[in-house]
Amino acid sequence: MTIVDPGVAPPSLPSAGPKLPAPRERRSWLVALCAGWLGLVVLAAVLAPLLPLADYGAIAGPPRGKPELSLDGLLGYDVLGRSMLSRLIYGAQASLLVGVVSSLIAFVAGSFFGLLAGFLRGIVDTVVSFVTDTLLAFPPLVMLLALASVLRPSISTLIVSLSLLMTPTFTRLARANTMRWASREFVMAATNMGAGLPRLLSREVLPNVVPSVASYLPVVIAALIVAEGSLSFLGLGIPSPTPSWGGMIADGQDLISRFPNLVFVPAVTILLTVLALNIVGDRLRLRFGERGA
Amino acid sequence: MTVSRPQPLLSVADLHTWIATDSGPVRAVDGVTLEVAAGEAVGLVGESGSGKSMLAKTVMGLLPDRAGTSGSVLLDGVDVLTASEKVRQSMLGPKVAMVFQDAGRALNPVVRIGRQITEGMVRHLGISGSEARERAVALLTEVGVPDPRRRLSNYPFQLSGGMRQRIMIAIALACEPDLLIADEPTTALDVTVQRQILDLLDRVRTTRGMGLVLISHDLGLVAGRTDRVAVMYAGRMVEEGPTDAVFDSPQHRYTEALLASTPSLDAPRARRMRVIEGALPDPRRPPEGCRFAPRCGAADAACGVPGADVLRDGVLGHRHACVHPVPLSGVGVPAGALAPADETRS
Amino acid sequence: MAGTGEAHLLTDADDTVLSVHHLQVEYRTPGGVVQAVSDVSFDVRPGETLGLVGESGCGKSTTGKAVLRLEKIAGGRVVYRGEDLAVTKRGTLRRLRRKLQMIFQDPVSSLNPRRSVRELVVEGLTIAGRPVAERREAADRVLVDVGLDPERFGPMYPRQLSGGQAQRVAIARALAIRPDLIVCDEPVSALDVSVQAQIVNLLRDLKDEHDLTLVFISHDLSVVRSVCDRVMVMYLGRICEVGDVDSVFAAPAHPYTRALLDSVPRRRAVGGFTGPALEGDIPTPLDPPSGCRFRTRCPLATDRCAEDVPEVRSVGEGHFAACHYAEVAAEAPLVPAAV
Repeated sequence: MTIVDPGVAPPSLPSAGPKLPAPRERRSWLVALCAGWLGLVVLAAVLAPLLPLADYGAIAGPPRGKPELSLDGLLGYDVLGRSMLSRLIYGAQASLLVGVVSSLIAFVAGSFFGLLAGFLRGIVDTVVSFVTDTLLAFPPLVMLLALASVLRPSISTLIVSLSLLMTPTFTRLARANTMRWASREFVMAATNMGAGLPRLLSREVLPNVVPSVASYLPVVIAALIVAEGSLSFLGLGIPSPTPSWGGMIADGQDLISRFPNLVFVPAVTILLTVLALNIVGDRLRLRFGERGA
Repeated sequence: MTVSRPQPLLSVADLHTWIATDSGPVRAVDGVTLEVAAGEAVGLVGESGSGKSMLAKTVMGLLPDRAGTSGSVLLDGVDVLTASEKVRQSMLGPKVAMVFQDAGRALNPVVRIGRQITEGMVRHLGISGSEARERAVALLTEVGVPDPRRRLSNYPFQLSGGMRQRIMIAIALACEPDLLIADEPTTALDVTVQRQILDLLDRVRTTRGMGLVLISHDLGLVAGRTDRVAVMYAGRMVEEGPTDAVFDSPQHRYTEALLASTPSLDAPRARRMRVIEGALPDPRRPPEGCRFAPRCGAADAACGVPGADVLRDGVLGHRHACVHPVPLSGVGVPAGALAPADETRS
Repeated sequence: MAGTGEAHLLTDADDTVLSVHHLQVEYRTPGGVVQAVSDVSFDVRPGETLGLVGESGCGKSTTGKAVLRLEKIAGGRVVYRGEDLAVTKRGTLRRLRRKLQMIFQDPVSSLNPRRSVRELVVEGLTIAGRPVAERREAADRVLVDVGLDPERFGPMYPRQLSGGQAQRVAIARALAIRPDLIVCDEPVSALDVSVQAQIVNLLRDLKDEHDLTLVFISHDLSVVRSVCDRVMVMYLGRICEVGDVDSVFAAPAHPYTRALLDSVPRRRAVGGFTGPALEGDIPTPLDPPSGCRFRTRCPLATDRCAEDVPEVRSVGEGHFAACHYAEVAAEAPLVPAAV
């Protein structure tokens, strides 16, 4: 074996690089598409009153009417002859409201408890962890049924129930993240510079914990939109006449074989929205979930 | 320098290894040529980013998916870069084995020590499980693990860092490799334990007549126990030759500076340490010519010419890649003892 | 290996910046209580660099953190300016602690990733509620002090910095509040050799310019030798040897110090080392050996070592060791590094 003549200058890098596996960023068009869909849903929900749509409670066409080429009739009419499109758009208001507000409440409450438990440890941690574990041990449906039987069904009780359901999850996430960050040396350095507990929590730990915990928000919102649907199905959702996506499915379930669009339209909307939330959520977690170093 | 040694065990020729990233390929190893003869101990020295570990990974076929290679890596005459997966697998163990820096991570945490040692033996040597167990006991005795029979049924977490590193060496030795590549084998260990592991590596190498590539950032560690040493900087080999010659009279400016900036128990205590100013070049866009030139006091326009850093024959049987090699006045004087230059802070 | 006793302390308290007496730090683990630091006394003199060396588990880092009360102190006194930090009130502690700063091993981990360099270096001033103008002026000043261009590095975030640059930022942050003493916990261990030298020189220069006292914790004997004036060797939570760097390195009086020095790879020694290897592993801190904690690995150990805990005693001018057989240990000449 002879050595390659060392007098030759190193070759430039071969221009045909190695075959690269598609990096995750390559699928950004999918994320954009999903974000677009979510934007559309939110926009429609917010601007619903301004749209030239029939009132969601008004009879706008024949009962169970087939889809037709008019704005109100685009997706057909429901059992009573109300516009499906109008109900879908107004339903987005309720479904998103329940999903987003419950998630945010759970996020804020969970972050608060998780931060305290993860940073202070000791008795605070013991108590918070015990309550969290107990809540998580309840089958969610049983808990919701129990709450529904005690409280009068309304949007606000639904939000309270669902946020209570998700708070333990966020508490755990925030606690684990807090513990990870609290052990980092910059927290020790700040302590040594005379920083008190409020400053340590709010300036050193919280800003690092929030992004990774918040990156789970879309997924939780998706889960709660589905949960609202399931509850509507059991008659425990948003009370009529306020439309919601879950409620629409529940209303149409008996007629699914003859008029599939009554169920199909809200079901596909939920599917697309949940899917979009999950994909966008995944991307957010990739970006912010494990940003440590 | 013309190489007159017989058929080398490992022969790396004009090897380029690069890792694709979003901002262009990182040129981890860039045109490196290196030979290791059977039974020879070669030190591979460099700081982080020098490409020394990536070179080892290329030999072992442990590169990530995004890596590309060119050149050749002949192991006993077979080019591992182009060999089929099957051929390559059959060489890992009997031909070449590797010891990693972090034994805690390299060992499978949920598999008993015994099985981790015997697995390769059963596959490569075609011996029975019970025979492999007996050999494992002998191996553990050889690497200095007390009570070897009981250790076979332990899990890695039950052992100390030093013991885990011994187990890793035992696993590497299991298929009686011709060449052992040890990548920073003691960096994670305490100094007294590091000492034990280095002694162990020395011992198994001489008793088995095995080739050894000892990769380290620690010059002192490589100096006492290798026949030849290769110094790498930013993906390029800058100096190579007999260990004593390279360390006694480094000719490349980087080697000289590195030696001088390494604190040593032998050198007189200096008020200030000699420093190498600046930082490594961007491995995506390395400078033309000598890559050390931007940090080098002796650099001039000639150093920036493409091809300026090819290896050329120096004195005392070593080769270097320096346009302005260190004059030989320092022969016989410990490099660390040279008067520390008064540097200003960057 | 005992570290009980105070023979090595200065009698005149005015000559010390920080004085530690019988320090005790304990950890609760699932296996029981571990005494990470056990009856350790030492003092730090103004303007000196005191090295704390030993292997992992010896308690050197814990000692460094405990004197700043970043670890809970289970017993003993840490006296700074006449105030015992171990028992002082929260408010006083907060004020005094600002004079005692710390630099950590992992420079990246010691910087909050969500702050810019400019914010990071004046954190101490921000906490103290200093006005914006003063902070801005201070940020520029300390960044220049540590050799970073404020214009270029000020707006950067920790992830954009190399290890050496991050360590410079950490040093600047400690400097900004004008401390008396900085505890440097393995400040160069995570850095490459060439960068290591830059940081060591920087610390030395800053020490002179700002009248600092340094406690330099490191496992690397070569670095300690080139940086420190005095050195304290620890093993399993106790002191082995204390003394001037020159005498400790030239004539180690404790067998463990000797073993440490013999374990450093030497370029010119026959076989790469200057002496025989130390057998075995460090015992579990859950159940440390009786008497001298080093006796299970010590070549000189006798029955006496299992019974009597050796006290730190003088073995020479400014040189103390905790070994019953320090004279024997010191007599055996170090195998000279063959040149």
